[in-house]
Amino acid sequence: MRGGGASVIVARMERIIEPGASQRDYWRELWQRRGLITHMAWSDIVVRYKQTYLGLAWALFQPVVSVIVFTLVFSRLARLPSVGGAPYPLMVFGAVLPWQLFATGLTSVANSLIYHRDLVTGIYFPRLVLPLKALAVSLHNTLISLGLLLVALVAYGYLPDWRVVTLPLFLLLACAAAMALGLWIAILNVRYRDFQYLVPYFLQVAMYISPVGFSTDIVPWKWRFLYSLNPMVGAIDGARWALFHGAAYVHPLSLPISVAVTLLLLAGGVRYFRRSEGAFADRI
Amino acid sequence: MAATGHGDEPIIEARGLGKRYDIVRDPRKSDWIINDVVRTVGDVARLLVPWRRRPRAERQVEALWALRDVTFDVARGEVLGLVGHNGAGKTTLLRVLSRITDPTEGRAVVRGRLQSLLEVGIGFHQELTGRENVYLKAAIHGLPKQAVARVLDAIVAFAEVEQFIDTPMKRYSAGMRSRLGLAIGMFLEHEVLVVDEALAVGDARFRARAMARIREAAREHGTTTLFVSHDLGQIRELCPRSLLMERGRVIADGPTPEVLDRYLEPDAGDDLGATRTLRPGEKTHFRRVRLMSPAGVASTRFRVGDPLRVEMGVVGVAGMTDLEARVDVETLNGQRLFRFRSAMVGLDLGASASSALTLGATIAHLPLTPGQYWVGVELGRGRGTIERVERALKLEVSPADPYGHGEAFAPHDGAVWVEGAWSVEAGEADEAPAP
Repeated sequence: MRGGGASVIVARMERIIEPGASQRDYWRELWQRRGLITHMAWSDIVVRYKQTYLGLAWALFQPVVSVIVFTLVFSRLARLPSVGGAPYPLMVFGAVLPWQLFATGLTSVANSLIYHRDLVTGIYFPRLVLPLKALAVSLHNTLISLGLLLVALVAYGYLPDWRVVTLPLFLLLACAAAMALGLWIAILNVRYRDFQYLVPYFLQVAMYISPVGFSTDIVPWKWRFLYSLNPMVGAIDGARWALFHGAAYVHPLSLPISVAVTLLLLAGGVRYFRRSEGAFADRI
Repeated sequence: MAATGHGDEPIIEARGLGKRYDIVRDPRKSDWIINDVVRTVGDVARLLVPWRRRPRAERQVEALWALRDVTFDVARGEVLGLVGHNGAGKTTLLRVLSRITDPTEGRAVVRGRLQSLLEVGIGFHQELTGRENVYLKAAIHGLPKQAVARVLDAIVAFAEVEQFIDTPMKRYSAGMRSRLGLAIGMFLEHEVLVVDEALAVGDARFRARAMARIREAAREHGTTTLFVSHDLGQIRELCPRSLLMERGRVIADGPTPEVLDRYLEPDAGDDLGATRTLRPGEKTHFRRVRLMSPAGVASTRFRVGDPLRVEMGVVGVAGMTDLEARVDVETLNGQRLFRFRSAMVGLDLGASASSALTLGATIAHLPLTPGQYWVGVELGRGRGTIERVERALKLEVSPADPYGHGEAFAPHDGAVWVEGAWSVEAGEADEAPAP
């Protein structure tokens, strides 16, 4: 039979199974399975467009509504200033981009394990594939929003300068923050499903204490350091800096602190994840 | 095909495998989420600051070994059966070998790609087509697209989903879904196939084809199979060698007929599940119901054709006339298969003057097909019922060879086993006798 003929090729494979064995060669194995991450992410995206009538439009709907609402509330009603003369809707859009990435990324990473409960209990693969796949799907949304932002920038005749090349770095920071927090919640979700209900409330509060609808400039100076501890402050200020000719003032401590907090959370999350991974199938 | 250059080495070597589950004894305290959060934060703090390692506070936990001291070898191309009662550790063993869960102790070496069919329907995306799902499932199992292309036709043909392969999976019937899942597992390249009750899906014809495929893969490609089934007929048919597991340990390893004999023999010593004790507040007359084996020990496990004795302890019946006791055997769905009444054999219980009685109903040869049944008992007078213990005990009947000719009576032989004889003579029976 055809399947049998090929088996000779992989015959040299030898697998040791013992306590903690799944943790050896972990990153190499994850790298070997990178195709699975893209395949699963791609399937999720394809399904989304197959299932919905408006498809792509839904990915645009959310950021557009956020931009309109924030502009009305913060600019028209509260009369808050924009940064560096950028039109208010554009300034909001510059923040919605990393925020949306963080919010959807965090939600889907947090639910990635319990959503694929059957895979966790039924088939072996490095479990970090699941949160990474969830993040990849969220990134796809951001790419679409990015396209829309470009259109908006052109429409307003407000084109970014060379600084725009740093934008991916700040989006990466938002990704890392989503992953860092998301991993912790994903692991806790395995044992306590309570956390999946907590995430939406957390995000709601977090959105108002992050400078999404307004500029960081309106935060009083004495609070700026404390405010920088929120990793999304660095990502949003950075994105605005990149998009609006460096007009957004990035607090000198904001970025290093955001990066440090994010990396610390991420490192802890990954270690905790790997340590608990072997027991996911028993507990989920 | 099995000649892969190191054919002498066993493809699976398990040495002292063990898997422990810790059961928290005081759930009120330890399940408090805050404790877990504090512990977790503490754990991580210790991970990040390794020099401040302190022993964790002792918790009240009870260790449950789902697997212990499991040692065995499997040779290339072998089809190994795994039998044991529910909870014996079969599935845990397969999960450890499939790397779904880590063992707590011991070590195993698997020399080849292992494909596990623990749950066949999982990993499918309902919105994707059958074809897309085959590729997705292959990716989950770690195989590249090219590996799928080679076997796609075989998978589709085996699962009999040719017309639906480009239809979204959500339109599939449950049978089609599990057939496709099984076919993917059996045809994607592997050297060890792990099958856990997976052949319970599909109809009899599909099961037969799946078994034929496993045999063929073993013979022609040297594929090794670990096979778990509660259908002992399948084990007998497929596996020359079997392991018997009990309470997480391998208690027998050898030729299948011998291992199955050991598996089917009633336990030495009383089986706790074979006696039902009833408190005075619960029932007025019945005190005890027990299933007894021919050897006189309490047991819930019998073989087709075995004698079964149902023993009842009854009180407060002195002076009752026209009294009769009844034994009912039902399927798990509650369909009564037979009732055996004391009056049928002419026994008049009212004749006894004693207030406490031990009644025994002996069924000479259990006519039931392998499976599980409920045994209920009843006291009655005439057509009426005085007291009834519904579903008093569960009876487990396993396949057996009551005639002793190497042909076991298995579920596919029918719902009841009959006792009888065959004869053969020359000439047609209808023919008029020669003058």
